[in-house]
Amino acid sequence: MRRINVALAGNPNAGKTSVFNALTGSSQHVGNYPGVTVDTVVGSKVHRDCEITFIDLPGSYSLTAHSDDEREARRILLHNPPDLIINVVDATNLERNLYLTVQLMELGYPLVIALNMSDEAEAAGRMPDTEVLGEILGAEVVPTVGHRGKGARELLDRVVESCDAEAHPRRVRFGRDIDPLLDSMARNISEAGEELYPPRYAAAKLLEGDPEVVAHLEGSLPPEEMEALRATAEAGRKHLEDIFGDPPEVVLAELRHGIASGAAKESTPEHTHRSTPPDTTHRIDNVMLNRIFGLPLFALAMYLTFWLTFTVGSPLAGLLESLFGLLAELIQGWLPPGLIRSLLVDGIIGGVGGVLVFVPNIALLFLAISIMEDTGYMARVAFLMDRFMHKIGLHGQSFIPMIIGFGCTVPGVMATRVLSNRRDRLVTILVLPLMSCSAKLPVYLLVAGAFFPGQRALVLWLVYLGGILLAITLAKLLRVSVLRGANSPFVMELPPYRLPTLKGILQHVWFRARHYVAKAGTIILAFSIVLWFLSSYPKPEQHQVNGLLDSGRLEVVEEDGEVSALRLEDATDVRGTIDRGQLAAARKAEEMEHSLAGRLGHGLEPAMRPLGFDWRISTALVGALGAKEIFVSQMGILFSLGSSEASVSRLQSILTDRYTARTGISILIFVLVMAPCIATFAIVRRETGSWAIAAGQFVGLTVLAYLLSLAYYQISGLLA
Amino acid sequence: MEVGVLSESLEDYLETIYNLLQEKGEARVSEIAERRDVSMASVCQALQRLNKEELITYGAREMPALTPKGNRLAQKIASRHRFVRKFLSEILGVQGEAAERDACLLEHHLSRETLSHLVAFTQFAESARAGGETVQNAFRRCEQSGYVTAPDRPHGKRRRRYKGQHEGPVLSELEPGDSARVVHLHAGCAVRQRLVDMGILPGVELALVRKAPLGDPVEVRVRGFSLSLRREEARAIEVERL
Repeated sequence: MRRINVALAGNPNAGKTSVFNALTGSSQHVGNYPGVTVDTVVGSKVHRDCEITFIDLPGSYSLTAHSDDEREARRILLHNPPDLIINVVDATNLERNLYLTVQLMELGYPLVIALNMSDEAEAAGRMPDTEVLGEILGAEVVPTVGHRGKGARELLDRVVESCDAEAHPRRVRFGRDIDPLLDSMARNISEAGEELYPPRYAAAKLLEGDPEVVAHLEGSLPPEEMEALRATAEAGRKHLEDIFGDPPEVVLAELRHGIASGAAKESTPEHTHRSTPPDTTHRIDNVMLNRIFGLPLFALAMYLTFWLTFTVGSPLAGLLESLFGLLAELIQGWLPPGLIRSLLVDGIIGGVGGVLVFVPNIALLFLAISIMEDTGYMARVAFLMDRFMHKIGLHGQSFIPMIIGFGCTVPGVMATRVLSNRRDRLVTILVLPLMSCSAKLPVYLLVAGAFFPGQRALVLWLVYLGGILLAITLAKLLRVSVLRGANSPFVMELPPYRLPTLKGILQHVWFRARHYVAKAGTIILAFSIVLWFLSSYPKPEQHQVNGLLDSGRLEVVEEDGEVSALRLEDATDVRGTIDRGQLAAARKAEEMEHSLAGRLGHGLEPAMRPLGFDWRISTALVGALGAKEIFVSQMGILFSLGSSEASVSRLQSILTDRYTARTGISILIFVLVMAPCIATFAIVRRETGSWAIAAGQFVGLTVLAYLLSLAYYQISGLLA
Repeated sequence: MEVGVLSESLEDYLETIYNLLQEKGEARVSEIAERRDVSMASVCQALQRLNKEELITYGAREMPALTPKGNRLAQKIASRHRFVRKFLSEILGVQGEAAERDACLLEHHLSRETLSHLVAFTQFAESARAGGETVQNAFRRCEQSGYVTAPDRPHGKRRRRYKGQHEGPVLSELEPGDSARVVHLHAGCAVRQRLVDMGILPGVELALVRKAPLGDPVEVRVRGFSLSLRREEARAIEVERL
């Protein structure tokens, strides 16, 4: 069977991914938002005895390599030359899309044009004549409707035929002043032994002074030849600047646009050339981007998103939680108490289950985001918020991930994929944990309720606000230090509004929710086991309570033949009673103190003392590394209260007895800033592709938390 | 190395780097590109060649720095530039930017001989007396009284543009609903390439559709699609109203 390698190239938002899905029958996520494909995706299909492999390139407007996406697309095209390129072209926006087509033609690989969204173009009376267009470009043109799979078969036919015929596109001509120069340079390049880059393309890029291509040629050509070429290029640059008054990169771009616009004009019906009537999109934007209503409408959209995620999602999450509870009970019924049962119930169900419980919230959050993306509203959000975000050194597109971060940091980090500039994306990811996620709320509620029962709302508001201000400061600092660099331009397309399809949206939600479960799940499982081990081992050989029982200072009271209480005589000879639950809780507290986590807490105490934390708080904070809400249950265990919900108010009264409000505030600061949870760590590592960044964030935020709490506790101590 | 051995443009690059180092303590590629009004790619190429000549040290991911040899040459180039400018402005009385601009052009084309004669003439004009006043002042007085007519600012075939020296309105000055044609792009390289890729080129018609509720960015309709631009990017697009 023959193998054909095909690359899919096209503008962002031209429907490349939907054509890819139609061709391969897979279900990659499709969005109406520039830059949805961040990883390159590969799929394959057998057609007419050929095994065709498709690679879906990141969307790009040009092959000049200015954003990460474009650089990646170009790198793949040049370094793994495909047998054929399918150029997906948005038929409703022909002229702009053909600019990339011209550049693909310059590469000289066989080319087939998928004229996508042909139904919309047809409806608007702007459908180009495919024959004329094909004649001008020297490539087969196939009308397609990606999301309905229309035209996929014909496209596959043309791919095989064009590949057999080695149908190279028409040569791109730049006119008498430039062509002879390019031809002679191309000849020199191929004679000098360049094997990878198409010579004429390399010549054009050399003339434009493209640094990456120059660097490549320097590596692959002999130095003397390269020097001669460079001299020719420099002379050519000067010559062209004298003739045209602009450097070659601008001149060539102008000529390419000229070719694109000529091809668009000749192939489309006469009457559509000039008129750009105020279309539906324009009318919708008159409302959505209105000077007065624009921001309130956006606030409403955000409110609905949160309502959907939390008000609708939480009962579902509760349902899931009770299912896991049921599962835990079943296992407790089947298995005898011991190592395996404890690992399954406390470690795995407690840890992984605790994360899976959030799946309904996350799926609904993604539902809302998908709707915004697929309709085209997301680009408008960036448009609305850019002024503000730009002030703090970020990008308009950073806003949505930040908002999502208040729900859960994990999907927030995933949502940063829309940022095309890597620096912007990193800054956003690094400060995201400061947007207090919903798992931090139980901690805030516990501490604020204990020390500031009257002003709970005010304290919460201050903590959230503090996080936001700290995030802004940190973003600014990062932007002028480690991640310094020019602001990325905000030259962004506002795509036309489209009615999303139900299938598309569901695919989208499924695709992302699956990622959350599968990718984060594996690491969470591992860390849950580690944390379980830390807080369970080693077991004390002898419980103190058992010792008390043996020595007779604690005695069992029986009523009607049933054990209902135990009687305790403490050192000062006061007798007390505790019931069975309390006995179990006392044992658990002892086990926790004896475990590695407890010892770690004890070991950390000297370092944590200046922050106002004793070993109990330190131990609970170690647990909170897994997930923030664990802090509450661990404090409960350490004070022998068990981990049930009902004990929160008793825990609060113990906290008020034992600690000062200063310690309370110190806890709030520490939990707000400290390392994000394990799931976040896993997803940051995945999304940035770097252990160093994930670990740096983890350690950096913890150190910052330590310093801020220390500063607060010490200064407030001096003032008091 | 002597002045005049390097090519004209490399001398200019060296001088720009020297000036940036004097003013700011560092010479970023982007700033060099901005001052010279060329693309970053050209700057990188030039820097590599200066590096080869051992006039600067320049490697990937670091900012260019002058070697002792480069520093000496740059000082010579800079002092020659200062002299030519001084000659134009103080002796001949050429005003403002024209003196700076023409000094940039002239300095490369003066042979050492002409230069030394000019130096001598300057000393003469400043010190020698003609009818009780310095030659310099006599010339200035004559010029003002109309005996000698100072010519109009000469226009070259190519108009050189400097940053901040806009001649027409810019896109950010338009109001929603206005249409205009692009005349020139003043943007730095990265933004300019992006604009060019999106089809914003001299000669293209565009319309300002709206401003965002916070006043920034703006929505522009061009070639049948909508684009959002920050005002600072729109400021770099010189237009003529339609």
